[in-house]
This record gives sequence, C-alpha cells and structure tokens, in this order.
Amino acid sequence: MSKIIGIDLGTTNSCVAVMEGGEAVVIANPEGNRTTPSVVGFSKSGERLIGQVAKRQAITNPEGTVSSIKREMGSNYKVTIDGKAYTPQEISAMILAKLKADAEAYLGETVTEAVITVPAYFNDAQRQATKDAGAIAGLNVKRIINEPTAAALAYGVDKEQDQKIMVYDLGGGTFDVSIIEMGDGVQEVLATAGNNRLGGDDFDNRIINWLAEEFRKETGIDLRNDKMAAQRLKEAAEKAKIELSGVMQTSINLPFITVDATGPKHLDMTLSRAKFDELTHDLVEKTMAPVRQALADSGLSVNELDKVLLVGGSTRIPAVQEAVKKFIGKDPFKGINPDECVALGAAIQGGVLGGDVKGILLLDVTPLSLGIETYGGVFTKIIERNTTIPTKKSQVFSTAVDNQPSVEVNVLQGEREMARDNKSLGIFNLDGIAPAPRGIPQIEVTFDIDANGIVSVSAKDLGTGKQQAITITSSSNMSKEDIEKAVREAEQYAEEDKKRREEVETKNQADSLVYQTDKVLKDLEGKISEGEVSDIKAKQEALRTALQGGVKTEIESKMTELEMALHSATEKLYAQAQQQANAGGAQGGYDAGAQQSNDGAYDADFKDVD
Amino acid sequence: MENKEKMETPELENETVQEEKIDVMKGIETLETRLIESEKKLAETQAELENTKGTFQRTLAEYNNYRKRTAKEKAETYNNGMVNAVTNILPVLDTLEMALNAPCTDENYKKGIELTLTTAKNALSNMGITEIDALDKEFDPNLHNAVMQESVEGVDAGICTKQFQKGYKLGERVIRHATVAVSC
Repeated sequence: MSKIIGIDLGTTNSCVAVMEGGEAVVIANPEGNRTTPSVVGFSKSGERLIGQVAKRQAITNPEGTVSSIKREMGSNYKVTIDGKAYTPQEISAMILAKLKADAEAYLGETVTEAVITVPAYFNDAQRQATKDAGAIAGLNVKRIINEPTAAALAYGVDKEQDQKIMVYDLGGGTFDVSIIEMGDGVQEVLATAGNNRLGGDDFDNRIINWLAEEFRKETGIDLRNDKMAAQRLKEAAEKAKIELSGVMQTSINLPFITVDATGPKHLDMTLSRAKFDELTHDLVEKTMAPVRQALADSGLSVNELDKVLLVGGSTRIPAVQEAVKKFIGKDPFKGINPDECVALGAAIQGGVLGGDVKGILLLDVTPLSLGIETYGGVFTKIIERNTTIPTKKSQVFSTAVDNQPSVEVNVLQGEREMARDNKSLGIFNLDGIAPAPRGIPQIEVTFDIDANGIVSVSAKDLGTGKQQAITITSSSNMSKEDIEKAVREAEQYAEEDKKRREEVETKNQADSLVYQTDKVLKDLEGKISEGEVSDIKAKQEALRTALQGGVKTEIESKMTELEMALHSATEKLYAQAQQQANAGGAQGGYDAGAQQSNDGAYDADFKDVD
Repeated sequence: MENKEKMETPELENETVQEEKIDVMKGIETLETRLIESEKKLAETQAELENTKGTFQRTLAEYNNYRKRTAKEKAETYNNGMVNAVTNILPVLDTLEMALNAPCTDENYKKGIELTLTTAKNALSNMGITEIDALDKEFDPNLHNAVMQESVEGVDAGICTKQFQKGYKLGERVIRHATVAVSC
C-alpha cells in the first residue's frame, strides 16, 4: 500500500508532507524549498512551468501565467491560454501534480492517495472542485479537511478533550481566522472570517516604502523608479522583516545603490522593531476586525476559547503575536513552523486514514537525560535525552579516595549540570572493592533502557567481577509538563550550572594533583634536592589551603604553580635518566600532566560513600 | 456396584445412560465451544500476524527508501553547505562590481577593486562555481529571473537585454538566478 500524502494547496504557496516513521515531515522540492509557489506558467514554446520557475517568467508572460487560482475554485471562471480554456480545477491539478511528483521523488515510490486542505469557509462546490483537481492530477483524494483543523492536528490538539480553538492564519496574501471545536470525534467550524487581500507582502511593502522615502529625503532620488535598485530594496526589506522577528533592530546596507552627478550613493539605515511595528501597525490592526467578527459569530466570549494557534509565515512577526495575545489574553501556541503546519496536519490525517499512525510501532525516546552522580556532586550523563529506545550504554568510572571499599551509584534523571538539581530515581551501593589507590579500580556502569522505558542500571567492578544492579520503572511517569519544565529550567540555569560544574571540576583536578604530588615525591625521593622537595611541598600545601578556601581562580593559580614545580623536577629527572641511559641504565619518570585515571578509565570519580 | 444397580433397577439404568449421554453431549458441546474459541483465536492471531507482517514490511520498505535517500542527501550535504555559504557572500561581490562601475577619478584605486574582483572570481571558479550567461541570451526561467520587460528596437522578443544581478551555478545547479530585463 502506498503512502497517503498531505497537501496544503494554498493561494500563494503550497506545501506537501508525509508520515514517516510515525512523524509528519515536509517534503522539499528538488530546488530545495519546502513550499512551492502556487503559480502555473505556459511558456511560448508550450512548456508547462510550475512553482518558482513560473514565478520567474511571470513578468515576461502575463497572459500565460496563472497565480492565486484558489480564489476561483468552484466558480465557472476559466483562464484562456493560447486559445485553450482551463478550469480552476485543471490549473490546480497542475500544481498538485508537481507536488505529487516531488513526493514520489522523495519517497522513492508511487503516490496515488492524498489528503488536501481547504479553508474552513469553502462551500460544497469549492470542496468538490478541489477534489476534482486531485483526481485530474492522478490523486485519489481520501479526504478534504479544513485548514484550521489540519493545523490543530499538527499541534496534537485532537488528543485532548473537547475544546474551542481559534486559528489565526496570516499567509503570504490572505488572512483567515476560524473558530473550531474539536475533540473526541467532534469537529465543527463555529465561525470564520478573514481578508483575502492581506498578507506578508504588505508588510514587506511598508519597509520598502519607508526605505525609499528616507532615501529620497536624504538624496532626492526615488529608488522605486530604478528597477535594479527596487529589486535590491525588495530583497533587503524581506530580509529585514525576517531578522526583526529575532532581534530588536537590524541594519539595512545597500552600497552603491545608485549614482547621481555627485557620485555613487549608498543606503545605510537601521530599522528598529519599534519602527517596523509603527509602519505596520494598521496592518496588524486590520486582522483584528475579522478576529472580533469571528468571535461574535461563534457566540463565544474570549474566555471560552481554550487555545489560539498561529498559522502562516507572517505570524512570526512579534507584533502580530502580541496583538493576538492581547486580544485573547492567552499566549498563542507556537512551535510548529507556521508555513508548514497545515500540510503536516494533512499528512497526519493521511496517516490515520492509511493506518500508518497507529500501525507503525512507535519508537519512544527518553524524555530526559539519565546518568549518575560523580565526585563533587556533578551529574554525569550516560544517556542523552531524546535517545531512541531501546538503548544500552556503558562508561567506566573509578574511586575518589585510596582504599575506597564501596561506591554509591545515584541514578539521576534531568538536564541540570549538578546532581542535586536533578531527580534521583534510585541509589545502590557496590561494595567489596579491593583496597587500591584512588583512580585504579575500574567500575563499569551500564544503563539499559528497554522498549517499555524500563531502566536497568548495573555497576560492575571489572577487577573482581562483583556486580550490583537496580531496575527503575518510574522514569516514564513524569508528565509532559514536568519534562518541559525540566528542560526549560536547564536552559534557564545553563550559565550558572556550567560555572558550578567548572568549579567542581577544578576542585577535583586540584584535589587529584595534591594526591599525585605525594606519589611523585615518593618516586623522586633521593633523586632531587632537598630544596626542590620542600618547594614542592610548600606549593602542595598552598594548593591544599586554596582548596579549602574554594575560590576557583586561586585554586587554578596554585595548581599551575605546583604543576610547574613538578614539571621542572621531573624534567631534571629525565635529564638524569637520559644520562644514565647513555651510561647503560634507564629509569622511568613521572609525567605530572597525567590524570589519575587508569587506562581507558573515565576520570570522573564516584563520591566516597563514607 | 453400578452393575448391581443396573440389574436391579432397569429404569434407573436407563436414566443413568441418559445422564451419561447428556454428560457426553455436554462434553462434546464444551469441546466444540473450545474448538470454536480456539479457531477464533487462531484467526485473530493470524490476522494480527498478517497485520504485524504488513506493518513490518512497510516499515522495512520505508527504512530502505529512507536509507537510499539519506545516502543521496549525504552526497548533497557538502554542496548544500557550500551553496549556502556562497549565497551569503555573493552580495559582497555584487557590491564590488557596482563599486567598479561607479564613477571614480582615482584610476589606481579602481584598479585595486578590479584586482580584488578577479581574485574573488578565481576563488569561485576554483570551487566549481560559474557565472550564468544572461546578456543577449534567450530568456530561460530555469536560469534567469525576469523583473522587467522592455521593448528594444532591433531585438526580438524573449531576449535578456539587461542584467541587474549576476547569476551563478555550481555544476548544473543554479545557486542564484540572473536577474534580468527581457525584451518584448
């Protein structure tokens, strides 16, 4: 059985998506774009051009180029090109056929079935026309669904109980607002309103006009009359608009934009988000009238709306989001690419119809990272979040003090750097470790998560073969909110946590160096001068004091001093050894740079259980 | 004991036979129900197996296609990265060209700009990036982006008469279309 693709057949742009591995994904066209302009061109040579390529030749061939055909769907309108009349269905079919071919190229298999979306206000004739367009394109249209419903599906709203949702869809050239009710089997359009001549291009034009006006005031030259300059202005305006969704101001730089008698002219301006908002304020306001209208028609009050979803590229504009939020009194739902969410929802519907959605074995992922607590209260991750399960991973650790008889394994879940900020899932001890200097024993810790999310953690002393394990079933019991909270907090405290972790790591390093110094001094006994020994000992003591003080920079500087003293001592030793080697006998030396860990052992130690 | 009873009470014997018969019948009935149940279960299991098989095969097919596609995409990744980087640099070249064409009295300075451009062009050509021919060529929407139409005496329709912005290709792949005016 072939896959059922989901198509958002838009007025300005169209998008196609499909279920893959239980997830909806957008299919990019061969040119690499995730949406395709809904434009059809008939070249003079009779070639049919669809999408971006049709757009590029539109100005040279206005009679042979059709755009926004969606506005005519279901009517008796016909376009006549080279003496042949085409219905809106036929033109739409050409767009659908391209999307179908792109999907086939992507999937590597034939596609015969599709779910296509239409605006909620489409009447029966318009829906039938859309279905016919699919048939002409060679697609069996399994279902026509409303765009707002598809958006809600993409957001997974259908999985919750009955709710009333407002979908605010500001696309490239049209604005629609719909109020729908959905939930267990219920799917009802309560009201729709809109403005079919309002979209992202209007926002671009405001920037272009502002730039051109400012430039004219400065130089007296109107860039809009210069095709070349106008083209560059248009590109720059679009770029500025996109940038202003992320930053508070952007610079628009167009060197050598034009030339007059006095020489070349450059355009160099800064557009702040505030200015942009001022320039486009009325456009945003224009969308609010249909919002009020739809709400009034639905008979609902603002408080009765459960959710607001934003669809369409222009809803990325912060002022638009702000206006919606202000009116509804709730944060609108974001997160899914607003250009793609309708197609994604259609693909999900296709997946449900094809049995894909529940048929496929849904592979789960670990919602949060898992790991153990190591020396100094650091959280060492063993399995990263979002790893697909089942999975198994091991790491080798060692002890933190000499003759440590046992290690404590504290199994943790979370994203924070320090153990105490994460959730402990269970603790167990592995004892009977043979007496050995710190860093020598090798303890292998293994995390094993099965397909049901059950975590088994085992610790094995590779020296003695002794093993201890624990099985945890509660890791999956965290609610979605808890998980989101954990991830959010990790981001929020990332800087702080990193600092704390670095502090601990510095301390661990210093602690290890103090310890190693004793060993080195023993090795060097009789090979270096008394003076050197006492110098090293003094620096070791200084580091010890610094460690107690706990100031990172202080520890670091004392550590460097001690390391240098050790290095110069060992260098001498090597020089001596060299001489002796020349004389016939070689002797090993100590490399002060080496960490305490043994071969292959991870240099993060367990904290001491005592 | 049974025999005795049977001999003594023939009616009773009949009854016993009857009862036994009923027992046997009941037994058969139970077995039949069990058989039906088992058959039903078998059918269910078989259906489930078919279903699982189907899902498995589909997933496998999907995985295979995914693998092939990923291999193809991997090969493309390098080019995509390069195209992305180059696309961001192209406006700098455009500007340099404009600077070269701008009126300037300092010939020596102009020469410097010219040499800079030559260096840049060589760098592009080393990466396999070539300029798209546009001027005086027949308009082709696969290579050119028309932003203006003009009537030029002595020139047939459909010819690129002006180039506003140069286009570039990496092999056969268009990185940026040449922005042109087309004769009508």
